[in-house]
Amino acid sequence: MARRMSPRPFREAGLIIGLLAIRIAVAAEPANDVLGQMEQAMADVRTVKTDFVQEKQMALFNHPLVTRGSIWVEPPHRLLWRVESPMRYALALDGSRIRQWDGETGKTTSLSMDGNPVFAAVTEQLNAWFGGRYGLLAQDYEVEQQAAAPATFTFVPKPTAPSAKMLESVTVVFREDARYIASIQIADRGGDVTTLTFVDTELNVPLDPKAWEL
Amino acid sequence: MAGAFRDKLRQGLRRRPVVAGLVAAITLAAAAALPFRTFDGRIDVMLPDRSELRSVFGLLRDIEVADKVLVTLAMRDGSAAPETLAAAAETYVAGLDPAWAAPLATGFAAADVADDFAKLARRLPDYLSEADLRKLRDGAASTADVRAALQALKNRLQRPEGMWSAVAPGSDPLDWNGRLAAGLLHAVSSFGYRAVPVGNHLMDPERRHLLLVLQTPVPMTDVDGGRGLLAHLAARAAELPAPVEARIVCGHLHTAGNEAIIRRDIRRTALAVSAVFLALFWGAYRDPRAAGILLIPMLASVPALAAAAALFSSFSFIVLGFGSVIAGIAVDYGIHTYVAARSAQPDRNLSGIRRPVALSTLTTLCVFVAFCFSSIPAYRQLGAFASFAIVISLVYAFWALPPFVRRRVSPVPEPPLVAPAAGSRARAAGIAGGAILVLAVGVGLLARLALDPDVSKLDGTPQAVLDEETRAMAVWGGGPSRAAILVVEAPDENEALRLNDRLYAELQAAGLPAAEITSLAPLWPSAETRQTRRAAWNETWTDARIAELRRIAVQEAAALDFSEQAFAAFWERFAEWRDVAAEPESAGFLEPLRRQFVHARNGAVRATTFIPDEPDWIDAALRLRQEMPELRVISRRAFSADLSAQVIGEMRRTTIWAGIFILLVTGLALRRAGMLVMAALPAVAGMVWGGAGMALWGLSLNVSNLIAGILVFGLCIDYGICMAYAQRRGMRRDMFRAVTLSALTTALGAAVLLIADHPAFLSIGVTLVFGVSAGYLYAWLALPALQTLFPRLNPPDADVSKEGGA
Repeated sequence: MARRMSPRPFREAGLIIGLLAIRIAVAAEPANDVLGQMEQAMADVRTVKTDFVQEKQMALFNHPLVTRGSIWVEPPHRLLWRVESPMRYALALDGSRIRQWDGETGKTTSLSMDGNPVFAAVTEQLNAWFGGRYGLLAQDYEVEQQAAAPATFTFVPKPTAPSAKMLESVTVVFREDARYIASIQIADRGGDVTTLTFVDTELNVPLDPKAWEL
Repeated sequence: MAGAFRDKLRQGLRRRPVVAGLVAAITLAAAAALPFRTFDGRIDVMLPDRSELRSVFGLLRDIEVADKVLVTLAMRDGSAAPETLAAAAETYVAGLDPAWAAPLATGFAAADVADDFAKLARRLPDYLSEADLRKLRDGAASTADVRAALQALKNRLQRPEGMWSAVAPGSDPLDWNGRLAAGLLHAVSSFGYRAVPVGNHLMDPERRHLLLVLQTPVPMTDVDGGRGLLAHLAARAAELPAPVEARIVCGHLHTAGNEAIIRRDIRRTALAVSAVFLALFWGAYRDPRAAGILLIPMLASVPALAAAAALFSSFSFIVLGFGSVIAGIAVDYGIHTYVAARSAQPDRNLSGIRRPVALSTLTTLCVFVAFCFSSIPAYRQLGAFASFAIVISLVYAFWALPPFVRRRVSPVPEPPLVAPAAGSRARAAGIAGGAILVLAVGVGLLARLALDPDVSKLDGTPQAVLDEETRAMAVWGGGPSRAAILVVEAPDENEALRLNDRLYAELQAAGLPAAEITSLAPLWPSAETRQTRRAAWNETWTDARIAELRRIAVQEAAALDFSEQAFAAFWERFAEWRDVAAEPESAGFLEPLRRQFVHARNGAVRATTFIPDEPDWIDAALRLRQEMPELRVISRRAFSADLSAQVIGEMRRTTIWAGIFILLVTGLALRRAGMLVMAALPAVAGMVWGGAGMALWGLSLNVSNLIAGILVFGLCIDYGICMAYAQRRGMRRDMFRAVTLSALTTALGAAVLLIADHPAFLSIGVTLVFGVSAGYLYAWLALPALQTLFPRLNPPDADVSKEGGA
C-alpha cells in the first residue's frame, strides 16, 4: 500500500521554497527598479504633512537625544521642518532660499544657497530623501532592498559620493501603502545612529503657503 | 650696345604677353605666400606697443579665461532635470577630444570636501587674523560663554542639518572650525558665483543648468584652431539628447566672430567697390577695357599684402578691411594712365602725366609712410600695406596698363563737368564767404566730437555672442568682471602671496571694507602670514589659559549630559595647533580659486585682487603703488584716460611726421609759399568736415578712425596741389577732370565701408566720405575764388598765357 505522504512536509517544503522564492525574487529584482516604482508611487504625492520623532544615539552624549516636531513637504523644492521640543526651531526651504527661525531668540534669518555649497548639499539631501527623488540618490548610493513589505531599502554611499566619508548607511522604511516614508535611520561612520519616525502622516492636504515665510 | 639692349628690353617689357605673364607670376607667387602668413582679428593691435597699456591688455588676457571654455547645459524647455543634465554632461565629456578640449579638473572631488575641511581645521591658527584670534579667545573666557557654545552645539545636532553634519561635533565643541568654515565659504560666496556641487557636477541652485569648464590647448588668437575647436564643440552638442542644449562662452567665439564679420565686410566692400567702379568707368568711357583700371589696385593688393604681412609676425584683418579705401586711392593712377593711353598721342600724354601723378602718389605716400613710424601696430601695418599697394599700383599703371588700352577711334564722351572759371571778384568773394561759413559750421560740429578711448568698441564680436555671455553671467554669477584689478607680481608664488596679504591689509587700512575686496588673502595666506599668526596663537594660548578652558569645558559639558570623552578629539587638535609647523595645507576645494587668483607665466607669478572701480579706491591703490612697486592697478577708468592721452600723443606725432613729409614733397614740387597755402586749404577743409561728418552721424573719435583724418589730409592736399599746379600751368580743365574722377573714386571706395558691419569700418567710411567730398568741393570752388581774390598767391608761369592741355 502506498503511503500517502503527509501534506505537512509539503507545506514545510512549500513554505521554505516560498520564502526562498521571496528572497530570490527580492534579490533578483534590481533595487533601482523597485525604487523607481516607489518613486512612481510617490509621484502623485503633491503635499506631505507629518509629525516626527527623532532619536539620536550619539557617543557624544550619555543619553539619546529625542526631538519632536513636524515636517511639511511640497516636492520638489519646498520643505518646512519644525522642531517643537526640546527646543523650538523652524527651517523653511523654498527653491534656493532658506529661512531659519530660532525659538530662543525669536529671530528669523534668511540666506541663499547661491555660493553656499555646504548648505546646498544638506538641502539637496533633505529634498531628495523627503521628496522621494530616489533616482537622484541612486547616483551616489548603492541601494539594496531589505524587505518587501513594508518596503525597506538600505542606501550605502558609493566611495566617490560626498557622503561616503560621513555615512555608513541610510535605511528607509516605507508605509504599507508605499506612498510615503514611515521612517529613516541614518548610521554614520562614527557609530552614531539617528532614527526619524513619521507619525500621523497626511498626504495631499492643503498646506498654508504662509507657513514658509516663518 | 648697352643702349640697344636697354631699348630691346624696354620693348620686350611692353609686349602684352610679357606684361600679362609677369603680372600673373607676381600675383601667383604672392598669393602662394599668403597662406604661410598669420592673420588675426585681435583688437589690441590698436594699442601702442611697449606701453603700459599693451602689457596691461596682455595681462588681462593672461589672467582671464583665455584658455577656458564654459559650457552650460540646460533643458530646452527651461525645466529643472538634474539627472538628465548630469547624464548629458557625461555624454558630452566622453566625446571630447583632448587635442581640442578637455574638462578642467576642478581640483577637488566632492567626496573629499569633508577631508578638506578637516585639513583646514588642523591649520586653524593660520587663518585667524589678529582680530579673529582676540574674538575667539574672548568667546571662550568665561563659564557662560563655554556653556552657550556647548548648548548651541547640542541644538545644532537636533536640527535637520545635524543629520548630515560634515564636521565631527566632538572635535569642535566651541564652533571654532565651524566659524572658520563659514568665514571661508562666505568669502567664496562673496565672489558672486552661483555654481553649487551636485553629485560630481556643478549646477545652479535651481538645478536648471549644469556647468562644464573645459580647458583647451588652442590659443584664443589662433583663428584656424579656434574654428576647429568650435566645430568640435558643436559636434559634441549635436550628440546630446534632443531636449538638452549646450551653450558656449569662450574667447574663441570673439575671435571667430570678429574674423567672420571682417571677412564678410571685406567680401561685401570688395564686391561693392568693384561694381561701383565698373559702372563708373563704363559710364565714363564705354570701353570694356576700362575694367583694366579696376584690375590695377586689385592685382597690386596681392603682392602688397604679401610684402606687408611678411614684415609682421601677425597681420590684422581690420587693416585688410581698408582694402576698398586703398583701391579707391590707387585706382586714380590707372584712370590717368588710361585717359592718356587712349588719346591720339599716347606716348606724349603718358609722359606728360607722369610728373603730376607721381607727385600725387608721393603726397599720399607721405601719409602712409608716416604711419610706418607709429608705435601702434595697426597703423604700421596699414602704412606698409597701403604704401606697397600704392607704389605697385603706380608701377602697374605706368607699365602694365598702357599696352592693353586701345587708342580711341571716336571722341570719348566728355563728362558733363564744368571746369572752374576765375569769374568776377564779386562772385569769388561770395564763394569765399560761403566757404568760410561752411568751414565755421564744420568747426562747430567738430567741437562736439568727443574721443572715445574704449578699445573694446572696436570689437566686432556679434551681438549673439555677447548676449550669450550676459546670459551665462546671469546664470553663474558675474564675478568681478566690472571691478578694477590689482595685481602684485613676484618671482615666486610665496612672495606673490606675501605681497597679496600685504595688499589686502593695506586696502583695509585705507578704509576699503573687507566685504568689498575680492582677494585670495583670507583663503590662502602666505607662509609668512601663517608663521606670524601661529606665533600669535601660541602667545595667546598659554598653558595656564588652556588648563582653565579645559576645566570650564569639562564642568559645563557634564551639566549638558555630554559624555566624559566627548571632546577628546578637540583636545588632541588643540595640541596640534600649538605644535605643528605653519605650512600651507592643500585644500582641494580652494584649489580652483587659487588658480583663478594666482597666475604663473614667463617666470613671474601674479596674484590678483578685485576692488570696486571707484575713483576713491583707485586713488588709494595708486597711493599704495608708491610703496609697493610690485603692484599694478588695472582700472577701466584709468585705462581709458591713459589710452586717450597716449592715442592723442600718437596722433600728434604721426600728424607731424605726415605734415613734414607732405610739406617737404609739396614744397619741393611747387616751390611757392602761396601755392602751398592754397594747396593746404582743401586739406584743412577736408579734415574739419571729416570730423564734422562723424559728429552728424552720431559717432565719436576712436583709435581706428583717427587715422582717417590724417588720410583725408593727405588725399585732399593732392586736390589742392593739382588745382594750384593747374592754375600755374594753365591746365585747369584737364586737371579738374582728373581731380573730379580721383575724388569720386576715393569717396566711392570709402562709401562702400558704410555698408560694413564692423564698427571700425563704418566710422572710417563716414570720415573719408565727408572729408574727401569737402576737400574736393573746396579745391573745385574755393581755390579758384581765392585765386581771383588774391592773384599774387599763385600767379601763372610766364610761359603760360592761356588754358592748355596735356
